[in-house]
Amino acid sequence: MFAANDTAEALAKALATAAGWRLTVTSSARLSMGMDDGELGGAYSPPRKVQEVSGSVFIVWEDGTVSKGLVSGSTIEQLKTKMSMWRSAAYRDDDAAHIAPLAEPAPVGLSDPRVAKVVQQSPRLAFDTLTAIASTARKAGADNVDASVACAAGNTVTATSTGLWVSYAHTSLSCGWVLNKSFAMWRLGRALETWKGLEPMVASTGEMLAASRNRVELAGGRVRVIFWPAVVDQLVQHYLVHNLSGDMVVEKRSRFSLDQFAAGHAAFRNDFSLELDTTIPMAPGSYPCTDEGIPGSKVVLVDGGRLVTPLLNTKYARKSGLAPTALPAAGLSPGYAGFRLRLGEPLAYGAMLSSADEALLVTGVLGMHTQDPVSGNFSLAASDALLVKEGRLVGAAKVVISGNFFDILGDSDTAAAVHPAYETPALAGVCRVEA
Amino acid sequence: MERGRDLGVYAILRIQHRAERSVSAANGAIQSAHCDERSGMGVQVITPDGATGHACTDRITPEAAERLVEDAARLASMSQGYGARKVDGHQRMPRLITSVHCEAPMGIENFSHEEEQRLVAKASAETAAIDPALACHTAYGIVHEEWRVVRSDGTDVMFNMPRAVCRSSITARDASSGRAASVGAAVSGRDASIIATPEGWERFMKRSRTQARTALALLEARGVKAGSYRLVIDYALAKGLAHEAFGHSAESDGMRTSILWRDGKFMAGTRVAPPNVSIVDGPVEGDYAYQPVSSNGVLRGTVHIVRDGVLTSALADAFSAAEAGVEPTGAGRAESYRDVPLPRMSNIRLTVADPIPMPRDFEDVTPEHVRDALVGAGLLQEGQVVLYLSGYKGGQVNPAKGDFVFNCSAIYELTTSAIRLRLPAIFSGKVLSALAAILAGIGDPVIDAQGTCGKKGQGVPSSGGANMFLVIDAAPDIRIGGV
Repeated sequence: MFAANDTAEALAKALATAAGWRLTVTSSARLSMGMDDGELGGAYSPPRKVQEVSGSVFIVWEDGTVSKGLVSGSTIEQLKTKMSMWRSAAYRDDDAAHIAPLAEPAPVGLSDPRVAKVVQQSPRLAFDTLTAIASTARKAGADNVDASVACAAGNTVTATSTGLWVSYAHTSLSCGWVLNKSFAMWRLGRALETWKGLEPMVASTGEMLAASRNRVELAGGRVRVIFWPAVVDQLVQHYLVHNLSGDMVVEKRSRFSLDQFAAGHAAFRNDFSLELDTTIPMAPGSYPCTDEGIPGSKVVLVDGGRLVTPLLNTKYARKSGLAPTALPAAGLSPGYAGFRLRLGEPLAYGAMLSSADEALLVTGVLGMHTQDPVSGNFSLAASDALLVKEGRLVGAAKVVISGNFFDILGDSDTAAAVHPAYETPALAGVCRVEA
Repeated sequence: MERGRDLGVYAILRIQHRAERSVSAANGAIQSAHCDERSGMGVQVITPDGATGHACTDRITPEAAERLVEDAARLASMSQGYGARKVDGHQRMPRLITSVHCEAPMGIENFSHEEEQRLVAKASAETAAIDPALACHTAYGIVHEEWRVVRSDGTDVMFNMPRAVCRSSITARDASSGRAASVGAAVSGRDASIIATPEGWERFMKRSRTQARTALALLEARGVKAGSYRLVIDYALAKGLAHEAFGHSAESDGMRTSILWRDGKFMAGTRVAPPNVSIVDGPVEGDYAYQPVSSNGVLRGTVHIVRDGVLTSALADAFSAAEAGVEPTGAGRAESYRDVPLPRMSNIRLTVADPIPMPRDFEDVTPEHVRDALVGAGLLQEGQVVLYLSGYKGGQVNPAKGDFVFNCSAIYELTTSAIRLRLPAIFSGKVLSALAAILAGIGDPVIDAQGTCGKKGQGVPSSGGANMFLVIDAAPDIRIGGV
């Protein structure tokens, strides 16, 4: 396999005659395996190894048109054909036809050599971790366990025609489990410790499962709902990240307008803030620079309830007359991508739960992706909403919860609570519940 | 294959080549265009003891293939020490040597990217121009995939899968009230004819205009009271119901937990729907989700999952068919060479026999036509409320519990004397309750509802449909949630 550096160097040489260019190339190896219905492997979740080169290239041609292309392991051998194909697909986009000036990448560590060793030489630790999760889940009372583990190691080169050439190693690990097809948890990190200390987390998932076996009748109506951090992550992604994305704002497909950002519009409660930090050492969403060469950084999106800036790549920064920002890494939930949400003085999650006289704990929902992100309205089904009484999980019911996420964030009674296993807090607010 | 023989393992090699082009435009301005090709291969091996492993790379050389066999065999062997589930059934896959080619007259090589860009920009501009409160983002993609599947038993199969889709996301926003609504319109098929022929263009724009007007009207709409209602769902929602809520439950890898299986066996012979309801899945040439051969190198069959209301056949591949006690149907599909195939659908359609006539094209049907059809059939009477759910905005199902949720673009509250537009709300319930409550179909089947099935993180094209509309009776287990 060609290394990222070889491919990047060949591309840079071929692109020398273009008016401008940028590229990102990653060479990586990934090991993964899964467990379905309590059994490891099988036809549908076998242990797997993937080795490949991936990436993208952006070219500004002499005539001002631009092209986008993909990079793979065969790019070097097919460079002439690829260049011709990319040239033939050029289009005019004057706002995009610029390469960011050279800026110092953020110095952030992203690699654990122990993980690379597991991927390349000693996959037994992955098997051991998977079987340990299943064992703990069974002890916690699960009749049916689905689980998976994965780890990867790679090298990425990001370079631009304005002089940037950054090459860095990175690793990643993940694991997740679903008990009785109902209660799930997912972990993601870059260091081997991500796979350690899982027993209490699996056990706490088991406690939810145990409580859910007592099916209860609910009256419905307006009910205090505690959204589990993973559900809050889904809400943040669907409603906040969508509406704070620069392309959505500039193209008028967001709830918020550019004028509102310029005016510092008070869109949220004054003790609400949201920022994105892509420079947290060894965090899954951190990086030295974006694919466009914009350094990783901390971006304040909402401060004191007021809109500060949308998330802007170089094109939409140009269109909006604002500075480009760091961007969330693709494919990660907001907490892992580096989003940090604050609402008032956060409680500890345990304190929120124990102080609840009566509430519903919602740990998973069906249908988030079907909701209208602009209006903020939601109407979601939860197969196993857990009834909390006097601070204890006492049963479960299938419910439909509905409301408006922006209204909930704005309600003075809504509270946030920090859970030790998550970066995104749990939120407690009032929703309409149909039992 | 030779390296597999040397190592004493059964091997399945999958080579994929994918060429694609895409273009998107917002309010008439091109936002992005892209053109590329990508190839790779994956090898799944099965040891004599039934352990399996998979390895893949984006380099296609004999040396790389040998390394993949070795890597996959090593992982398979290691998994045996951890009590891995044994794989069976591959020996029963029929040996097949064939090449299946689907023609695409306006496919990726026969249509210009410049023209695609012009049409997409035009569609986006014309839709946004309907009203200053509208914004429209239009995305178009055309793909040509070629696969070769080779197995240790001598099977050597090649097939192609051309497809194209064009979709507009339309947002209406009232700056003074801050209210907003978003809807979508899409067309799909095998090639650029979906927007490049006069008929295709007119169909797409008619759908876009209808949806744009709906988005504007939704700015003034109110929510519907939550509860159980008699419902009318359009064919796209019905496809969602058939695919998400029923098709997945009929897939053989879910035999241990899905609601259509008991003690690991398919509940064939069980009545699950009224006698006039049938559900069929299978490849349809020219369709967006067409796949003639499974990713395991077996011809894909057309499967009558439900025939005349009775559960009949499962969607199965060779790996789980025997254990599940069903016939393999060549149902295995994989997103790419990186993935192992899973039993899954291609084009699924839910049809009701002897439907209420609807003598016009689907694009020309208004809520008034739907209301009149219901009244004419005696399904909407004085004092009664029927909710007509229009436009599919996605759904999700838990096959183990039989719970489903779907969302729509808009709801029309139909009475004999009035029609009121209401905000969308989720349609949720129990799969079997929904099937049992089907009262009637309206109009002929339309089967071009397009989507992407994301089972186990693999995105493969899906499509399907139903009669233009299905009528579902009120039932306690089927709810419309409020907002």
